[in-house]
Amino acid sequence: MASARQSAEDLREFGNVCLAKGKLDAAIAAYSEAICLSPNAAYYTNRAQAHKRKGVAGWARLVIDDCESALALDDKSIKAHYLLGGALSDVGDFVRATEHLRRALGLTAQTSVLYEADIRAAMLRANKRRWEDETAAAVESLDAAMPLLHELAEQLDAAAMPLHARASSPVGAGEAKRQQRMHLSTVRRALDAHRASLVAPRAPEYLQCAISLELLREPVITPCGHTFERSCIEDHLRRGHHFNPVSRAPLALEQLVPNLAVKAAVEAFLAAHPGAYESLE
Amino acid sequence: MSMKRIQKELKDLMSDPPANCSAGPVGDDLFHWQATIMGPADSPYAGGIFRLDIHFPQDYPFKPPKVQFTSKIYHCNVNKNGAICLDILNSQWSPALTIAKVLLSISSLLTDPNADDPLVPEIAQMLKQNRVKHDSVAREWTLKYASQ
Repeated sequence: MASARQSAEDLREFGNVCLAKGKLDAAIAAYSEAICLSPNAAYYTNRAQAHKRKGVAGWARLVIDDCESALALDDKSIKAHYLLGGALSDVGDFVRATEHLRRALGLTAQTSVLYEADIRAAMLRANKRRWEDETAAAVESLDAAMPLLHELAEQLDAAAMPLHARASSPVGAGEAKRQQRMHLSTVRRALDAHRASLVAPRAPEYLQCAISLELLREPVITPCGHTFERSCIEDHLRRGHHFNPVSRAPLALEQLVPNLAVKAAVEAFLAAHPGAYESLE
Repeated sequence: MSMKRIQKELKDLMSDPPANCSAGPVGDDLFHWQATIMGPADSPYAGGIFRLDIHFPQDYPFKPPKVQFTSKIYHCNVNKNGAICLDILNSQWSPALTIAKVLLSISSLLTDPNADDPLVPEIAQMLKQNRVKHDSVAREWTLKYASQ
């Protein structure tokens, strides 16, 4: 038994070397053999990763199967939750995708992993795609509702005539018609407003980095009070440009301080408007 | 970084185009753009549509874009090859600048030529000594080389 486990470990290492070299079929074969010898969550998640990188049609299903097998063996595998979330998102199961990505993020509180930012990005992407799906459905029903409303208005208009013709005063009929028109235009306005709310808002400038022009992820603040994405401003300063790009005041790397308030503001903005997330790949 | 940043600028330009200029890639190459600036109303370039060529360096926005006129223009800060003498395109570049801001600066340069830092000394001299004649030549060139 011990030797089977050892051979499986050897196969995994060989698979990792193949994966690093981009020999994906060889890596998949090695992990598959390791799984036969001694099932282990890591072998499954490694194979899932190879399938994902190979990216042939239907890759997501293969990744889902492998990650579910991995989780059956170890339900605390961050990598399994992360890869499963990404694959579920790809097949359009955003509810389960966000569940697993949230689980992966929760687990990183105990064990930090290098790809935590990737998990966050996958989560935001899944939220955005979920929002896009829901929005598309809402827009479709609104588009269907508009002509119906129009038709209804005409029917009511026609029906109102005989109804009020029976009423003794012709003024009453006119007044009823006027009110009916008013109610209809109220409904129309409500539908229009709802439709306008379905457009993803542009990210406000104060939540964007002036260098990348994207939403801030790791914001840092300068002594002047300007906030930049850490990697962008560091890149700028490391090129020997020792000034603040907005104020042009002298600036050094060690003067940069994290801006946690803006980071929280970006997270709150994206939670309220998932559609505003722009994937960074 | 450069590719994403250029794409973002393009997107912003399309969703919120500036009043007096336009810009966009030439064909499929995102690093090569063409732009136009309308001659400002309060300048002798009024009525002209000036074309410019923009090349982004690989390390944009940490290095400035190369911007030059392709339309001939009678201006003391633009030479006959279309090269522009503008500090923000050289030593005063900042990665917080964008093509929209650069085009706006060039547009103000058309309104207010900088005769103290000329690229074409003869035109600068004409501007200082005989503004009326300078403006009339500039108008003539605009009509000749920058009208559709």
